[in-house]
Amino acid sequence: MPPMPRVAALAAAALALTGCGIASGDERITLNVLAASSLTEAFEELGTAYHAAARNTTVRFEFAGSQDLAMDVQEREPADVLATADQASMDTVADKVTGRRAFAYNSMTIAVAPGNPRHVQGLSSLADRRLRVVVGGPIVPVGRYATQVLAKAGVAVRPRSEEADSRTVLTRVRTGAADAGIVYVTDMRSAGIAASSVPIPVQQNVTVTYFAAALRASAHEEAARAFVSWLRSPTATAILRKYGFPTP
Amino acid sequence: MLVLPALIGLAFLVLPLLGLLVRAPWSTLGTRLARPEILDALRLSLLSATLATLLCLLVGVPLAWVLARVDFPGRRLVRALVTVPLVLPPVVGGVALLLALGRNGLVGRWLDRWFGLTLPFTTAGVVLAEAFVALPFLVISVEGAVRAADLRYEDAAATLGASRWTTFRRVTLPLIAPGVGAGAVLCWARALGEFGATITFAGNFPGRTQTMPLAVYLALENDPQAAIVLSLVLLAVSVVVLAGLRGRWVL
Repeated sequence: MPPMPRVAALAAAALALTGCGIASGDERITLNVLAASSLTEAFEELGTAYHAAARNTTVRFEFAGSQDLAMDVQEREPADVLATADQASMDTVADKVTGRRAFAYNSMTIAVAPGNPRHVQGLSSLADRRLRVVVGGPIVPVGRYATQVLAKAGVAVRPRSEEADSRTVLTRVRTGAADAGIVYVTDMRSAGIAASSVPIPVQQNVTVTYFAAALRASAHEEAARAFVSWLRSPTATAILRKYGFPTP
Repeated sequence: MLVLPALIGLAFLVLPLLGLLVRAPWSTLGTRLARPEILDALRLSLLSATLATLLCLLVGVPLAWVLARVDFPGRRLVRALVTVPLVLPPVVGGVALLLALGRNGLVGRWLDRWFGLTLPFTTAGVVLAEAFVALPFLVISVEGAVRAADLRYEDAAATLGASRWTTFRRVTLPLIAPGVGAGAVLCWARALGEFGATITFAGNFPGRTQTMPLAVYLALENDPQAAIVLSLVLLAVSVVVLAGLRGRWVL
């Protein structure tokens, strides 16, 4: 294909000039996506896949606790898409988003040290005062879900600390500061061999629903809505499932 | 020529504080301040900042004296090490504390094994995190005071037969008292505002490790009005402390 080298050269020039993305259309768009921290690894791969599918669009992510992200939207931080780990955070900005839809599910598990040295059997084990248990704070989704699963199991736990997001809870367990923590099932993948997990049975567990929506204030609302719709495509759901998220 | 940038600088510092005052929910201030979780955080903040300051005085004054008076190889390196927490992001300080004093830390694992003592998730952990960040303020202030103190008084005491400890206690300490006082107040104020090292090392739990700055941060996501009230309290404390300092000591 004779024209290829020229295109490649142009692309390389664009890359060199802008430092990111490869241009092919007239308009190059960078979508800023605010996403819940539990989505980190999955969304980074989704971003690459989306760029491969829609070459004029580059996706950039900012990961944080859902309630943090909702506050960023309230404070009108410039962004195009919001993806939260719960409905409540999305509801607080209902008037600022459009085209909201559920795109993934998750559930909770108990993170423990590798090999489960303290022999945690399930949620009821967490009531043991000698066990150092860490959960998310009462206002972050991972903390609310922890409260819900403990209530379903009828277990009273006195946590040592209430952390600001799910990854911090997991870090406490990974570093050995805590013996057990309640985190998302999908978080365990990021810990690798640094942590083990004790499953929470379905009847005690919750179904976490992830929502995505385009922001009304976005300068690229069309592209933002396209990205949100694409999250339900076969390519996107395959990636989400690969990272352990069931999809609708 | 200089007035305009000076005014811009002043406005830059004052405007955010003004924002805090304007947006404060004045009408409900009283009831909000009396809420138990705010009182808990305030009590814990005052307690831990005071304990951290005492700890800093205990080790910081001797350290400052050694840095100012004892000539030993590597003194400049030690002085540089003392100031590291000043420039280190506090979160990094918290991570470092975890690696050293955490349950699996260099020293922490032995504390746990031998004494059953774990610092993360305890008020003691909060005090240590605050002391780590605030100690340089005290040391620098006291070292300056020791350097400025006239050596001849100490020499005179020594010729009259006073031991090094007596000289330090009876001559040097009264001479450097204003410097120690100023250092202690700065140290206390820094400890009171400590956030990064505290949340990283000690975690966050109401009544045990949740100090005012942590409460501000977490309230911001949930109840911004409460965050403003908490911030106002911290601001008031800072202003009172600094005003007190200015009157008594040259800063």
